[in-house]
Order: sequence, then C-alpha cells, then structure tokens
Amino acid sequence: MWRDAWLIFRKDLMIERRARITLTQIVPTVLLILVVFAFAFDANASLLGAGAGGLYWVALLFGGVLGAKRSFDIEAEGGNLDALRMGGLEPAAVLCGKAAALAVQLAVIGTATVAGLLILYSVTVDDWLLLVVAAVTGTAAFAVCATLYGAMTVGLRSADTLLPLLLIPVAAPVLLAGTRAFDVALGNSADQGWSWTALLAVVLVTYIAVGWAAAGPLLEDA
Amino acid sequence: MTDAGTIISGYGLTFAAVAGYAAWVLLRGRALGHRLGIGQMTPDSAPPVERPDEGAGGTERGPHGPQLARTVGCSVTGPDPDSRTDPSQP
Amino acid sequence: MPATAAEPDLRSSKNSPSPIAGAAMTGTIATRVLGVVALAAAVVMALLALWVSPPERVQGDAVRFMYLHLPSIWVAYGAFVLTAAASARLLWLSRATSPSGRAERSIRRLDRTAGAASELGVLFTALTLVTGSLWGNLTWGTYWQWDARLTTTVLLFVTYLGYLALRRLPAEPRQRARRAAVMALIAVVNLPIVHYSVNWWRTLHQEASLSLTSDREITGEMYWTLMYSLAAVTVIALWLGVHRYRVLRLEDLAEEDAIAHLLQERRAESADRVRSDESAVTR
Repeated sequence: MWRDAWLIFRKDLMIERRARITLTQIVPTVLLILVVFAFAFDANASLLGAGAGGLYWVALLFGGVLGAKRSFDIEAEGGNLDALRMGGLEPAAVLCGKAAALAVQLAVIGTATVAGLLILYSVTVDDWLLLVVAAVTGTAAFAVCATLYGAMTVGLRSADTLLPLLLIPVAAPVLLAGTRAFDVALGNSADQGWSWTALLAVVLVTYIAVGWAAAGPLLEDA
Repeated sequence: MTDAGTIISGYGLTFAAVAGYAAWVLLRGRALGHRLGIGQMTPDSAPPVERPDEGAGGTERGPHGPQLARTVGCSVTGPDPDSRTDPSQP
Repeated sequence: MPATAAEPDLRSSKNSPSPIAGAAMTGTIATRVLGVVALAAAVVMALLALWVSPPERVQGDAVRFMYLHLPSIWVAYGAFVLTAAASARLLWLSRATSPSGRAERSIRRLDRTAGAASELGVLFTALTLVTGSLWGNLTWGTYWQWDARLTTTVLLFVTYLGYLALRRLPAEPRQRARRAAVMALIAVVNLPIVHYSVNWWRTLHQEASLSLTSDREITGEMYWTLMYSLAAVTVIALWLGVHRYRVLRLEDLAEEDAIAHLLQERRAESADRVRSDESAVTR
C-alpha cells in the first residue's frame, strides 16, 4: 500500500518536474491574483494588510483547483487510470499518492504566496509557528479534498466548470478556518488561532477517512 | 415593513415555495407519464392535493397528450399517436 | 419510412402491463391520503402559529418565525441524513464487481432516494435561511450575521447545490450513482460542523432552542405549537419526497425509453439502407 502510494507520488512529481506546469503556470497565476486584488482594493495598504490572511487562502484555493484539474488530466489521457488499476495498485494508494503529490505542489504555491504577501502587501508575521502549522494542516486537508473531487469528476465532459463549483463550497471550512488562523498569525485579530487550526486538523482527518472508504468506488470504473 | 407584515410575508413566501415545488414535481410527473405513454389519468384519479393546478390539464387529458409528447420532442410511438386508447376520451 | 419499422415493437411494450404500469402516476391511495393530511396540517399549522399561539415576552410576535424556521432546518437535517444513509448503503452494496439483479435494483432505489432527499434538503435549507434572515431582521435588526452557525448553514446549502449539479450531469448511471454517493458522504461532514458550531464558537446566535437535558425555555402553547409544526412540516416533506422519488423513477424510465427509441431508429435506418442497396443492385 505505502509502496504503491510512494510510486504514484514519485510519478506525479516526476511529471511535474518535466512539465513544470505548477511552477511556470499556476504559481504566476496565483501571484497575479495578489496583484489583481490590489487593483480591487485600490492599493490601500491597510485594507490589503487586513485581508492578507484571507487572500492567501483564496489564492491557494484557485491554485488548488487548477492543480487538482491538472493532476487528473494526466490520468485521463490514454486511459491511465485503467492502466493503474490493471497494474494491481490499490485505489486508496493511488489517491494517497496523488494527494501527497498535490500537497507538495500546493506547498510550493503557498510558499510563493506568502512571499508575495510579505513583499507586495508588506504584512508582518506575529506568530510564525501558528502560521506554518495552520498552513501545513490546511494545505494537506485541501489537497486530500481536491484529490477526491478530482477523482469524482475525472472523465466528465464538463469537469472544467464543475470542479470549482463542487470543490469551493466543500473546501470552504478549510478556507474559513485557515483565514481565521492566518489573521491571528498575522496579528490582524485576537481570535483563537489554535482552535481554528484544530478545526483544520479535524477536517483533514475526516477527509482522509472518507477518502479511504471512497477510493474503491470512485476509481473502480472511472 | 411592520413586524406583522414581515411575518405574513415570511409565511407566504415559505408556503408558496413549498406549493410551487409540489406543483413542479406533480406536473413533471404527468409530463413524463405522457412522454412514456403511461399514466393516462381519468379525471377522478387525480391526486386531491393538486387541485390548484387542475385547470392546467387535469380533466381534458386526451387531446393534450400527444401534443405534449410532441412538444417535449420524444417518443411518440408511431405515426398516429392519437390512436392510443385513452379512458378519459369521450 | 424508418419509424414504421420501430412501431409495433415499442407499442406492444407500451400496452403490456410492464413494471412501467406501476409508475403510471406519482400518486397512489396512500400518498393521496398523506397529501390530504399534509394540506390540512399546513392549514392548521398556519392558524396555530399565526393566531392561536401567544406572542413571546421579549421578542413579541417575531417569535412566530420559530414555527417555520426550526421545522425547516429539522427537515433539511433529516433529508441530508437520509441522503447520506442511502449513499452509504449504496456504496456498501456496490462493493461487488458484478452485483446481482436484486442488488442492482436496490442500488437504483437508493440512488433515487438520495436524489429526492437531497433536493428536499436544499429546498428546506433555503427556506431556513430565508425565514432565519427575516426573523433576524426583527430581533437582531439585521438580515445577516456572519456568525459560525449561519455561515456553515449557507455553506451546507451551496455544497448540496453542487451535489445536485453533479447528479444532473450525463454519465453512466452506475458511475454517476457512486460518485454522487461519495460526494454525499463528504458533504454530510458539514452537518455536525453546522450543528455543534454554535457550541464551539458561541456568538450572537441563540443556543439551540430545543434541548432534552436542560430546562426548556419554550413552554405551554408555544411549545405545543412548535411540536405540532415539526410534525406537520415533516408530513409535508414526506409527501413531497415520495412524489419526487416517483418522478425520479419516471425520469430513469424516460431515459431508458429514449435510448431504446434511438437504438430502434438506428436499426431501422440501417435496415432501410440495406434494402435500398439491394434494390439498387437488382436494378
């Protein structure tokens, strides 16, 4: 099981290393979102700083939708999923490997976004530990969720438009909790940052459990 | 708006929404029944709760049936769908 | 004419007492009785809630929204739980690579149950949000508060809108049923979050109004009106659900019918072509 997951994980990252879709297309898109938001708020530094925590997660959300779509596009071509199944790989292992690979790519996107926020929005970080823990937990939860929904829509004709509609509402708890935790970490609010991070962890564990149970039926005849 | 007005409009909105959904479900059931050439209802077999929309096609089912099927654009079974037996037709 | 070749076959299948005949209408005697009960219950509920029950000490007449708001969310929760239960059972039954005919039929039934229930859930969640914001406007002075409970309820609403969108997409029925079932299980994760969020993050929203353990604050006529409304709205929702289920069944049949019709048309067309080819050869 873990060996299979590791294989898929390495395969996905190797494809990314060759194609560099995340690095050359998704990361610039996400940075573009930060610039566009500055237009929306008329480059008002205090407004931008106050909304920075939420902007991080909004940007990551859109990057994640693109990433999840890409992650399953490479499987939809040429009946790759069928081949993986014929090869005797466990469905749960396939999803696990893909989620891990997506999480790594999302982490790259997230790091670039934080850098963008620090430079473009001139935010300061009060609590790095909270920021990093919340970011890692939230990113992992979102990656698992996005992988599940990517598998759910793979092969559907309108997957491009359906995926964001399905993913954004379900990922909203991640967005909400992540934003609140980031607001605390960035010193924008006195909320209970760690409670919201705990919620992120609860969501992560729940998605993993559901994904574990759902992998078989999702991939069996995808 | 006054308190009473808000409350009345809230209740009105809710009951209208539920009634609208019910009407949609029942009418869709009838349309699909026609489309499949089944569910030719005699006037007295119509479900009692849908009285409000009875005028929309409850009693004079026969002549409308094939036309409805044609406008829905589906399985009219033969070149002459009117020849199907219909209990509500005189 | 291609249609003539298809005619006799289809027609005989129409007139025979096939399983289709059972779904002839979406009403049966039982549901008609249920429908009358539901209608009467709704009228009585309006009378009780708007006229018989007294105004509350603090909120005044605004409390009358409670008799709409709480039953709505109760039905919505119930519908989503039913959706999840049917989905879980569906996934359990479809473990086998080639399910038996009986399991196959249960799977279709469970899929329709989930479809009908989720639609009702979306309707009643929408009603909860509307009545809640009107109520909120009277008691809090604002239509909307961004507190945890309201926010998670609106999320629940859009999540299931997405679920309905996934169900609408054309796909192979078995696959669609499974994918929708998986999504329903993920979406139901939101239910406990909505329910307990009021305890996790205590904000403006009042505590859950009904509690079995603590002393109840709603007493007397108000309490009984609320209990009655819960029962009445449940009956109405049941009636709606049964009919929606049957319409979904008709939709499935219509889909099969359309496919069969297309197939027959194609067959007739190719037979026609063969015939004209033959006549060309003899000529």
